[in-house]
Amino acid sequence: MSLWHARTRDPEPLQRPRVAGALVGIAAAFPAAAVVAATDSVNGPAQTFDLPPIVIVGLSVVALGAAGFLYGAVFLRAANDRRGSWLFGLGWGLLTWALGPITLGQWILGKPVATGPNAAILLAAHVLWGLLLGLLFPVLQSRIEYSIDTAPSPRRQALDRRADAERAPRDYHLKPVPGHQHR
Amino acid sequence: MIRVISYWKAIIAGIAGAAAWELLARLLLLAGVPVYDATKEFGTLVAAATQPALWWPAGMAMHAAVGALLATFYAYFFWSWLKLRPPLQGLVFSIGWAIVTIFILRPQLQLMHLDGSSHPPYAALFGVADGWAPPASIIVLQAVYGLVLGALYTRPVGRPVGTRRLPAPPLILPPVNLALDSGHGLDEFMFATGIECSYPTIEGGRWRMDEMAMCGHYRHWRRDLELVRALGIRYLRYGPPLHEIYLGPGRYDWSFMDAVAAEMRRLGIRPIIDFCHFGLPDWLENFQNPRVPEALAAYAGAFVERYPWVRHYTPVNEMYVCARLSALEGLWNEQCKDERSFVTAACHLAKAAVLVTQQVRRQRPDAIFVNNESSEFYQACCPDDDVRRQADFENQRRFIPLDLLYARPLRDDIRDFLLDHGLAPDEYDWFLRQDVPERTILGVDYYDWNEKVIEADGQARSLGELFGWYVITSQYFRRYRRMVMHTETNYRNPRGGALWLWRQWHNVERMRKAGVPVVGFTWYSLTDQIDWTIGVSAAIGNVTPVGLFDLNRDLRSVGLAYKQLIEMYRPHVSVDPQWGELEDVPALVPEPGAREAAS
Repeated sequence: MSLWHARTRDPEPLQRPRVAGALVGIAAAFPAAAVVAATDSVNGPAQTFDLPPIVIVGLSVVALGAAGFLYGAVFLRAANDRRGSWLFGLGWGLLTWALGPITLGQWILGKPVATGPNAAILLAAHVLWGLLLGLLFPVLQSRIEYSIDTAPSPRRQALDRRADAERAPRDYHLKPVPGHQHR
Repeated sequence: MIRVISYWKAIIAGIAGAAAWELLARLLLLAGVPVYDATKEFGTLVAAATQPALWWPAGMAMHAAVGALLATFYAYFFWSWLKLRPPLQGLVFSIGWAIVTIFILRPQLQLMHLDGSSHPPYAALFGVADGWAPPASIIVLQAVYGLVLGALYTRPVGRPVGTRRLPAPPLILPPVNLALDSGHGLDEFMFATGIECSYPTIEGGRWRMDEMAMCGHYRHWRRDLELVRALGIRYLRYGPPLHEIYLGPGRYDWSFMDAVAAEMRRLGIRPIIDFCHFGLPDWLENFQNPRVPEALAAYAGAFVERYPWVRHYTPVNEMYVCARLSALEGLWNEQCKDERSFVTAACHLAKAAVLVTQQVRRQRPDAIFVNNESSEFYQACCPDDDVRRQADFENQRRFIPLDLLYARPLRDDIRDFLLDHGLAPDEYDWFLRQDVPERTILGVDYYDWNEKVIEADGQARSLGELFGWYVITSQYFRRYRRMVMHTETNYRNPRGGALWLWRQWHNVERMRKAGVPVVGFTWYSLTDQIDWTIGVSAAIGNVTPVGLFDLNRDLRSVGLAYKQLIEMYRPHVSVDPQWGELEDVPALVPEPGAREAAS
């Protein structure tokens, strides 16, 4: 994992991957929701969870926005890869499908969330969302990132980090060594 | 970017893996074995089960597409994590995917075949309602897929020796024979960076690792040059791709370099041209070839004739490192592992540097030479005579190529070592008779692995930064007494890059305050590099995140820090060129042993 961290983290000083991920996650959710709504595929999940279809769609958009935020938080700098971002996004879309409400819901409730062609369309919608997330992320990132002239300086960031560390409570202040006499 | 992958290799490997899966599945089904029929499962999503002529091609196309997609995941996220042979890496990857297939994908695919009124048993939601045979067959078939994928997806970067990969030049080229620079060529402190350009061969000389290609410079060269200027940098260490330009004796392809040179001129970039960077053209083979020095001198002559405005040159980059990794540690080029080969390579490299220097000076008398070498230091771990002897020997060995280049007599035992391992006495005398140009700058590279400890078992292990650039460079300065430039540094953890930059800069400042004329500083390189964590010894494609920019050309923290450092210090670091051999600088730390000798 150290290899992964070394390559993905440190989006500073210009990039804002979490913000970009959340915004793109929400934006990419609309075409996916449109596909689901146009094919009436939302009815199955609506019946399973006993909620109106519009609420399911709304919750999905919010959840996919959160998934986009997580995408940015996990991939950080790597999400901005122009050549590989479609793959990251596609993988993330499949992950949200495989480990999201569709699979977990059926395991918890003991019945399928969707069956037949509607189940295939829900998968396709997740893949579409992921693909759009991956492809659009670098585009949006380039619009919201800091410019090279206005970026926060590494020195400022280092000082902020140090200040944060000094503010954090430390165990040895709270737990004096037994028998030790403070002067 | 976390690694460079070969999409076409991954796609072919994935399709081949899916085809192998299908072949085995069909054979087992024909034999009556109850295996999971993934192709039918896919195909019957779009065609009736009674029409195999329709569902099989449709299913196979979908299966191959999934196989190809999975292979690109493998290439991006899994390849090279495990230190296993490639087929075994594929096998391990496939086992993980088999579990996902059994518990998630297959149940979901089966649900896609149901109508709304069906209600599968609870166990079917986990893919375990119909016995052990389908899950077991998925594991076996997925293993076959993984083995084929792993066996076929290898060497995602580099290319076979004998092939070329230069981009097509622009249709309209600006003129390149522009007016020469005025002035003496060293009118300011040289804040520099470099384009990583190593091009050694590996695998017995059959595979070329071309960092410019792997890092995307051939594709993004124009943007790279703009980024140099965006940070306020004017000096660029640049190694034209010798193996792509120098096609044979008297045969050159300048198309790429013409375009790059013209753009450098337009942007006001002063290149420090590096004639040989860890590799040779295919036809020159390797550094054991005695034709190398003359051939490189001819290339340098042709280069200077074509680009007469270029003032700064590095005849041969890091001769000691090149000789050591090519001929003693067996990683690059000739891949020898013996002292005789090392001596041969070191002497050929030093002779090449001498002849290149002479050739350039004939055509450009005011050229400035930046002879960079990796600053090495070996520390004995313990008071053991053998270990101390070895550390002492290695501390002399690091100087061999520079000593030969600067016509400096070697210590007796080191001279005897060279003579015992193939250097003829008249060749040694030839080196000592050479004239060292006045306009020479000693380039000292420094990384956190340059200082090593010799352990009791005789192995050298990296110590991290023990004494630092200031102390190690003091040793090099005392030996050669030339103006100094910090010609390479970087840091492999991006979070520590800015801090490392400032540490190196403070070393430079301390050296200048001590009285040594340090005339330049370099963060190497402009972008991240490929496979330098393993010394470019295998074609893996992993990114080494050391650049001012990553390989997407997005700024790293160290890039911004360097820009700010330059803005802060440029008005305060002046250069007063002191050509030729300089006086000693008493303020420097004394050489080990010098204090005892003085007392």
